[in-house]
Amino acid sequence: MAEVDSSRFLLMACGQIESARFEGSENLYCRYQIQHGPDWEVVHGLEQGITQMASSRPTSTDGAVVAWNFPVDVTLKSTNAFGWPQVVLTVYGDSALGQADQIQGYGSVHLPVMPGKHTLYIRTFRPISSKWIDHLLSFFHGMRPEYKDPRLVAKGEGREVTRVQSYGVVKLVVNVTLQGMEALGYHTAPSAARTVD
Amino acid sequence: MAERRARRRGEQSAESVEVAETAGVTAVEQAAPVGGGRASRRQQRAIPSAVAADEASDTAGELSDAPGGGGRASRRRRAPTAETDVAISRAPEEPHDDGADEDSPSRAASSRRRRARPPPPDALPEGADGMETRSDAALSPAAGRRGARGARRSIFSRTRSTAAAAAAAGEGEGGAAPPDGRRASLFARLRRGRSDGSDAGAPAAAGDGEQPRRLLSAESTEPGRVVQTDARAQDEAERELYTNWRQLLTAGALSERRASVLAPGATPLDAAALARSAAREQRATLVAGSTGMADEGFFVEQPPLISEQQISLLLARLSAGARAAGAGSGAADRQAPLAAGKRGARGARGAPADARERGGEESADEGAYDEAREPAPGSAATCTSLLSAPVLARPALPLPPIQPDPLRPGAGRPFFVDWAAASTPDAAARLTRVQPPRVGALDAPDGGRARHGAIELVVHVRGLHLSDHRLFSAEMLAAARVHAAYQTWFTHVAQRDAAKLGARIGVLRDECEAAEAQLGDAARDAPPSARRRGAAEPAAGVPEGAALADIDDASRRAARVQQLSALYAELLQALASRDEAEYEARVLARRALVEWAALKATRARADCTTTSVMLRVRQTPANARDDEAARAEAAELELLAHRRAHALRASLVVAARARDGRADGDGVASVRADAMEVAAFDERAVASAVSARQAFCLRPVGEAALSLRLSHSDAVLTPVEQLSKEERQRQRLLAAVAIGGTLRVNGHVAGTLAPRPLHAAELRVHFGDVLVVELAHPAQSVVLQLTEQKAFALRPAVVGEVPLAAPADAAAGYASETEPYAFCAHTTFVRAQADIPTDPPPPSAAPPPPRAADGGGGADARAARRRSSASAPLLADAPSARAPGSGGDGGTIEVASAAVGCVSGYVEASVAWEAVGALPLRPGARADGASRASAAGAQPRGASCASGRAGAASITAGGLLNAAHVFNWLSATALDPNDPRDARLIRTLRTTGSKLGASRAFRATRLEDDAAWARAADAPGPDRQQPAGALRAALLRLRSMRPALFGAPVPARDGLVPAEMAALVAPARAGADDDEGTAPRADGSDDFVAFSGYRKVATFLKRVERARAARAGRGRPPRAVREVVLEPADRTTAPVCACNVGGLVALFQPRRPLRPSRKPRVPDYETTDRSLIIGIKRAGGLPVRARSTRAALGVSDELRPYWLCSLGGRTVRTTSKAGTSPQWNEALELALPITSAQLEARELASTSLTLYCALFDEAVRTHGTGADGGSGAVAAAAGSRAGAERAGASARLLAPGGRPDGEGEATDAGEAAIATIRRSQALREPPGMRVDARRYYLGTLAIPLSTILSEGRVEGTFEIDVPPMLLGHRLPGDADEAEQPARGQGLRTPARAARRALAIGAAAAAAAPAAAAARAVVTLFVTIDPVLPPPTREVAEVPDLDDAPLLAIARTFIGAIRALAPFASGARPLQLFALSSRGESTLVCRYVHPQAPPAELRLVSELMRYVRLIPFLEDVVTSVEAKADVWTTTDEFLSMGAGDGEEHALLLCNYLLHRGDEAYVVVGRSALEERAFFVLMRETGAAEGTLFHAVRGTSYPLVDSRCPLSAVGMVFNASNVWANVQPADVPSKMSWNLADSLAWRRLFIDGSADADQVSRWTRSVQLSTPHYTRAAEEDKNDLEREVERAIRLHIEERRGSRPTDWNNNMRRILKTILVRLEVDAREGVTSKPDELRAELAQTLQSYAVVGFPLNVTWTDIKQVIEAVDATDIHNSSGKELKFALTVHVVAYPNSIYSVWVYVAALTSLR
Repeated sequence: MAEVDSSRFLLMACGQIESARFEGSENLYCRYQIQHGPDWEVVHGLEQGITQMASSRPTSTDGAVVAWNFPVDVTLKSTNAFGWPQVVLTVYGDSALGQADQIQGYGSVHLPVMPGKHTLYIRTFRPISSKWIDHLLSFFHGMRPEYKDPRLVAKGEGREVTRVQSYGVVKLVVNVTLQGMEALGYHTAPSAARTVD
Repeated sequence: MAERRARRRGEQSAESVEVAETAGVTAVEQAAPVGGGRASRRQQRAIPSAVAADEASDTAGELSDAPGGGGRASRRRRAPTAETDVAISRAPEEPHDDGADEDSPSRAASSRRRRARPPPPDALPEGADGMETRSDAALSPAAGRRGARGARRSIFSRTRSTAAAAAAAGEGEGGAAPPDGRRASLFARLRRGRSDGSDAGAPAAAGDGEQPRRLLSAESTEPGRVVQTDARAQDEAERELYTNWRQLLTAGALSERRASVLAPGATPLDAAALARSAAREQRATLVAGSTGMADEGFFVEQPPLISEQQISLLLARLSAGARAAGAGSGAADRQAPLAAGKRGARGARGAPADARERGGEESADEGAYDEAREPAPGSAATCTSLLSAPVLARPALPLPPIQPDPLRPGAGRPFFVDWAAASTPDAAARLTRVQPPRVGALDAPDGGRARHGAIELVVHVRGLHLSDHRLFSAEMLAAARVHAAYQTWFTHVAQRDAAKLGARIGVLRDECEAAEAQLGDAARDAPPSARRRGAAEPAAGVPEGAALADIDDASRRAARVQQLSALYAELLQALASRDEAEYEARVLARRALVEWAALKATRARADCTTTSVMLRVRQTPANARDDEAARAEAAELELLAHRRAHALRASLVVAARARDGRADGDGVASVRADAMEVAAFDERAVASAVSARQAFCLRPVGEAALSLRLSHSDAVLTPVEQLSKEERQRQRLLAAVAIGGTLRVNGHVAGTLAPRPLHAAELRVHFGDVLVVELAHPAQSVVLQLTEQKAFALRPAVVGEVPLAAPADAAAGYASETEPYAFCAHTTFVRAQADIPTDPPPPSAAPPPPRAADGGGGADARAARRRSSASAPLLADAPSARAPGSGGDGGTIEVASAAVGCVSGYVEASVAWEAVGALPLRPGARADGASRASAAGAQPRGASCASGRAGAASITAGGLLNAAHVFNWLSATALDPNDPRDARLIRTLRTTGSKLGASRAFRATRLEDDAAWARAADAPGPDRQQPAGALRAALLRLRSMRPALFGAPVPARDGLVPAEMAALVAPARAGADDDEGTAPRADGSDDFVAFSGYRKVATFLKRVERARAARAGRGRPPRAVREVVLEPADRTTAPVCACNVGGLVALFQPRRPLRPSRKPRVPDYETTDRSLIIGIKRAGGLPVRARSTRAALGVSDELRPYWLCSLGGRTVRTTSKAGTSPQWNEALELALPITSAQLEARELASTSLTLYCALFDEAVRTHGTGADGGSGAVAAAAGSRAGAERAGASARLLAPGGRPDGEGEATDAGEAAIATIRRSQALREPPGMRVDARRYYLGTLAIPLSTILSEGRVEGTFEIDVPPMLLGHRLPGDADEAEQPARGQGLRTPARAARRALAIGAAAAAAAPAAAAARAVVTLFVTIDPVLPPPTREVAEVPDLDDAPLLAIARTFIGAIRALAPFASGARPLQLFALSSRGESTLVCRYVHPQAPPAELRLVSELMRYVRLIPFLEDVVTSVEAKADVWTTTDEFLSMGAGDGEEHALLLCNYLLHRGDEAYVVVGRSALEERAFFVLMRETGAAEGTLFHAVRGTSYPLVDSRCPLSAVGMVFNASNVWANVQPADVPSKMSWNLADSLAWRRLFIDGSADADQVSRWTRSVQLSTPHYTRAAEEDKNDLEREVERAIRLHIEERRGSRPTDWNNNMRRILKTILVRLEVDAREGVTSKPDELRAELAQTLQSYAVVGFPLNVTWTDIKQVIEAVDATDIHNSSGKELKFALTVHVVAYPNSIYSVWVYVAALTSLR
């Protein structure tokens, strides 16, 4: 690092998708994707990944919590803060009728803009059918409507046509490191922001 | 609290300028108590006027601290900065120097030696009191003028010397020059007639007397001034001396001798003093890059590193340079940060005292000190008038912010050390002679670097000044505020320097006077000097008559007048700013006094004094008469200047009128009358304005002038035993406070500072520690952590972190100059009631801390914030607020408001590092010094500003501005040495500028942003340069609109934007130019990329590819749930309900092995290797060999055609068959050069890959050494299994005779024979025999791969594209060879009549049979294996339109049409709506509209030709959404330069409509196109018509059964759509009577809709005239050259080791043919074969020519090469083989090029 490249800044995020809580669902797995703007590039790490299938323990007291502990480790570089990366989570699981790979929830969250360790709870939702016939069908088939492109949940366009139902929460722990933002004129908050009151 | 914090954050964005300023202020402020605390308590009685002090202090140096480092002499180095400043002040300071040197003479001496400077003369006899000097150190009001850096330096050296008492006792004071003292003594000496002196100056002068020659030359530049110096009165002389001297110093050409010459009247002492300081100046200048010592190989000490503050200073100066004249200038000036001053804050009293003792005379303006020992009443009385000064009528006069951001350390950013460029002098080499540096070494930062050793980092921490602490009492806080207020005043007095402005006014006045004299206007007013001095001394003695005679030239005169008026403007401005400066000084002094009063009130309330801060006020009694006289004089001068300026303006106007010819011949009188006419000079108004300003700005007449001094005195402290218990407790606690430090280098602990106690009275901690760290690697960060040991804590708590700045250059070891680094604790503390030591309450009131009644809550919060910061500004200064005894509850309010604070203050530290390496590089010579100085004297003062702005604009042309550029530019700028605003800049330039040039700029990027104003605001007109970031902003804007254009991130800075990305923005700017075709392009360069046509298409192709990539990113926002959500119903229907009945049935079906059923091809994406299957069935209508060929080569006349298919460089071939209608039935396989992923993304559609199926005729001869051999070979071949019978049959064709040269020759012998020969050739060629397979190219069928991919399978009969001219072959329809000469070649002659008829627009039906007969066709199929899944095109037939009636009509129409079987099955295409490029569904009729073609194209054939030449590109590529075909408008189509079927068809249709023809677009199918668009043209009302295929440029009569159009679905024009509902759907069998409702169903049936509505629905989207750009004829030559070169290279490359010879003789002939062919193509005719043949006749006699013209439309070079490759001509062989190549390019409008390539292989016939 003898030479500091001041033409871009780096965002390093590492952490894990720790667990999720989906009442009434078992056998969940989760897929994450990093959605970012046009000025961003992934330097290291995986832009998307799929966790293992995890089952909750029915006898446990916390009920429907499944643990994945799936590592997320990605380094992005950018020249522009616009399009700050988001983590898009898609949780799949068995449906009530036992059909696999049914959508359980979508969620997205921006990676924190402040360095440090962050614990993020992402409340997820899933689309519901727009027509009663589809309701009926999904009831019988145990299949749920899903987004054609999961990245829709990271965008603002086209959401208005859908109706969703909140369901479940995912816990994401992520450590964020930034490099070089100051050189580009971005003022980032101090790493340890303490408030005195 | 949170809110406060937020607000505080908001303030963090303080500009660096501000930070710099603050740092400077605080630095000086800190220094003051330190120095003062040490100061003796002796009282000084005599201090010269502040005015004098100011002037003198301009050059008063900080030499005083020069010996300060003597204690560490071995490490110490002197910075030339200091030496520069020393210049003038050195002179009168000698006594003090002596005094100091007596203390430590050896140290001082050694220090001087190190500085390579002559020993200072110790000869001044006058006794100097070093202690006095010291006592007043840092008190000179002028001393801080030098601004942040210098002040800091001097202060800290001072501090060190004070603190490290043992080591530095007596040191450092010697050089201290009270500037006013210097001035005073100078005065005194001048008055004494320069008789007093000492001989000490002489040796000094001799010691430094170098470079006499240069001095002489410099001297000669200003002889007049020297004379003047003598001639004037003494005060004049002094001033003149001063100005001259400054100028010469600036020029860098002054040495001691020069100085003595310059001031001939001065005493030797003066001369010596001047000389010495001049020498120092000069040395500094040398360091800064001039010639001199550096040239002679002396190593001169390192100039100090330029700090960021200094850079911001420069920039601020730049902005100050942009200020306008007049009152507005003041505000701008105030924005300028504290300059990089190097003024030592030295005592100012010693010298006056000395002067008094010596001369016994006192200046008239010297007053007595108000000792301010008893502060409250005395100073209150003193400042009564100030306090009661009227409320400022003028709201503007913003005071500079002096508050540092508490959360952001001021100087606290580490430098990024440029280790590569840095180098270090060996300590021993400092005084040794070294190699002279290269001139221009500025550019070579690494020159002279030897090696890279270990690094020694030396961190010197001198001390710590606290401005807030939790244990601070109210008094201590108040003391800190006094510091701040004092410093603000101090800085402003220094900066605006009324006295210096006065000097400047004098110089300006003289210049005006001289210029007036030159101008010699007889009628002008008396020169200012005459008024001023009276008649006894007329103005400079310039003869007016001579001057008048001089001015014979009107323009010269005008120039002079302008120059003069500029001078006057400058003078007026200087006058105004002098008043403003005084005004500011008064206001600021008042504020300081207010704070001081508050401090005293606090002390009074507490009844004790615990801080040693003393503010002294000096009152200079003023004489009312003198004041009035001075003001009257100034007013008179100003009035005069106004009058003259007005008169000059008027004269300019008159001159202008005279030039206009209106005042001709009337003589001077009328002109003058005219001048009066211009506008009368309102003298009274001006006078009243001037006096009003004076009344406002200046102190009341007769009122004493004030000057302030801050000092520290232990005497004021209350004895401990008198303190209250609480206070004693607090002091005990304070005494226990110990602050230590930890040095962290790269995050690792590198050393610790032992905790030191806090000196409570001075608010200071002294460290005086030097930490030396040895590093193996460069340090990235050097951070000083300050720690405070708290009670009961295990480890010390971190108070704050201070990142230290390491210089970019190695500064051998210890840096003497420390810098202040502001710090502020991260944590705040609550100043609880209990923590604030409560003083015993005075009887009258509770002890309120100073800002008790500050106002409401907001003010309180602000006050709290301020208090927590390092130095509190004193903005809220209502006098009433300071009234003591504001009540007990006020105290509680204060406690609440001041409850939060944080430990803050400054660390005085320095970082230096040293590496064992080579000597540092010295910058090269700076040549422009002298010229600049003279220029500064000659040109109007405004010039520096004006040229400065232009320069600023030019600096950053390269994008990145760095400080080195700034300095270079400033060096070239004529700065006014007399302008106090420029003074600091000049000094900075001299001392540090070149240094910066040599090393790398620090944080240049910041500068880029900061200097954006210069580029944005100053560049005039359209050539204005874009401000920084403009390009990036434009790109980001563009991307938000058209994301498809961008494939890569937009770089963070303009300078990094790649050229192609920048070009995206450029076309928009140069769009207007493009339209006229005058866009500038790189001329004279062969760079092909510069070719505009190429770039256009290439850009488009790239854009298209990117559009595909970015398609998912942005498009039409979804409107329906189905577009977003996948419902279960969408997924479940098929898999759940369908059961595989077919599979079951198949299970029970009988197996019939002999009749295998066709296996269905299963599409899959999994396979990685795909191939193209080309099944070639048969061909027909092929050309036949011309008789000439047969005769020439001796081969049979039977055609032996074979196919060579190539794709992406891979080729396969069929066997050759016999005859003109051969059957192959062969399947060829070609690997697809495309990955599976690309296939999945359908990226192939965007590739320009084309499958070329080239047809060749193979003529085989075998050559043997003898006839036997040849025959034997043939016989062997004939005997082979495959071709026995054919060989027998062809045996009769064997030519009996050989060639004249005796070569045995055998003609070809049938298919099998050839195959056998080929085999035998491949296996083992019989010795002495070779086979010559000569190939003739017959034609090509080119199928774009995108078509194959999108259709999945291409099958049918296709027309072969036969070159228009084949040598050696002729088409069957051509005239018989009997018509042609024996050796002529066959020429293709399609039905000329038909095309001729076409050309004139007539129906071509009559010629149809002939045209049809001429066509060569091939039947083949092409498919991909494994098959691809068919592309899904989801085009909503009836989109969701807003227009309900149209929707209803469309639904009805489509519903009715879909009921028909052909439409229901999709066989006949139907499309009512198309997606426009804007994403809207548009009725197809709206695309049809008569459009004017380019003016030069008139004939139908020309239009066809033009449309045909526009490159074809699949629309799927260009669409934003994958599944929709976008119909672009013709304008978009033309501007993009490519499109697919419908665009071509629409354009042709629109052209035809414009011609007046009746034209329709016909939508159907063709073999190559799932949706084929043809244009139907017919004479209005006629039954017959012609169908055009616009892409291929072919035409078919309606009755032509060979027309590839089939399954016609619909026809549309601008007004209606007709669906084909008749049973037939082949054009030749259909009824084309559109009125026939049984055959055609129309969309808009008459009467079904309102006509108005229909016309609205069909309103065209097309422009009536698309934008055309001129055909770029000039580009075509470039293109020709480039294409030819590329083909040449390519053929040579393909031939590999085989020799490739070029026959260049044929170029001209071939070119003629090509030109002709293009004309033919345009006109739709074919030249007579004879005419073309005649061109080649001569060549054909000696050569066998295999060659053909190829025509391609220009997209890129690859396409052309592929087309040439397909002909396989590079594989030709033969005797004396030579190639001929000619390229002909024809330019059409909109950068469309028809590229003709004639490539031929020639073999010798002899």
